[in-house]
Amino acid sequence: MAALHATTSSILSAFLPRLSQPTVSMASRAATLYSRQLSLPQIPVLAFAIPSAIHLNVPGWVEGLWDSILKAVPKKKTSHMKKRSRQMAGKALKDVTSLNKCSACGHIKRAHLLCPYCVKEIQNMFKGKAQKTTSEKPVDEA
Amino acid sequence: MAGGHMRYRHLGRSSSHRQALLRNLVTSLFTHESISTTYPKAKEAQRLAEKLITLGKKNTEASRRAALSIFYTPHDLLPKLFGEMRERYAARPGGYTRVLRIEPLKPDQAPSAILELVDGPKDMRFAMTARTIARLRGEGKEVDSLTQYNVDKVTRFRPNGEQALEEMVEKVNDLEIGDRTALEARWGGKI
Repeated sequence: MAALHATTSSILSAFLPRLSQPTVSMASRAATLYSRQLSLPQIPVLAFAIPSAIHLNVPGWVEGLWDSILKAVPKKKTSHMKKRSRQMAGKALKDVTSLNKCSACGHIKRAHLLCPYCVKEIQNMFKGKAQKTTSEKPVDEA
Repeated sequence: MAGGHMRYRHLGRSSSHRQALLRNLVTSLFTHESISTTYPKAKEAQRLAEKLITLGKKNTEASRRAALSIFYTPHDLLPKLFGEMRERYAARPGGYTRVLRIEPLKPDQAPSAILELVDGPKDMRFAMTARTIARLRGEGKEVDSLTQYNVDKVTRFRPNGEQALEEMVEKVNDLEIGDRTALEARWGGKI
């Protein structure tokens, strides 16, 4: 347990300064600049006191973690093409292979469905619509 | 329907909406003898239509009242149901209606069907069988087993079935087989 603690502390001590130091220094510098701009140089003591207080409250490793999590975001918006290709994958139209021939006209039609041409012609006949009629059909001539 | 056995298709409607839809469908069916709608609607309307014809065959005061409460235009259709229909289906033990699948009619490509009254003036299977016979005769071929099966079906309970079929064969023989290269509705055409 003690050994483990020692190793973790050594690792922390090895890593933390490197992680925290630049950010801390940058933060303090920015804060300094900000405070200088805001509070006129009438009270320079207060301007220097604020960064030191922040430095104490926020440990360096929290800042490092915060930055590393926030930065893991997509670099670019997914394009329309990419999004559609992803969402429509495996949903392409399938070939219709269940076909057979209409017994009434010989034209190819979908299996288990009536031939749409014959249905239309017969419905027109029922309605008494002006449909071309011939005494000799093409099949009769053959 | 999730969980449990589905007794009937809900058709995405509330009970009252569904009842109204089915009443509309059967009213149209008995008015026009044949209707084209989506397949699930046709199958549900078929149930109600068969029950109505059963009421017509019972021909009692109670059945009249029940039929009256289903049709939207009962004064036009009750005489038909208790007159023409009752006589037409007197010998037939059920199976008064027929659902035939057709190419989708709706723009959403929903499966469509024809719901028709069997042995009526707009019997599609009767006409289609007649047309098949006309074609086979034109080609000098014998009537095959499937066509013979259909012939038996459409002539079995029809009065003077054989003769009526011969007349229909003559009628559809005059009907020209139209342009088969015309676009179907599903490809933006009219057929």
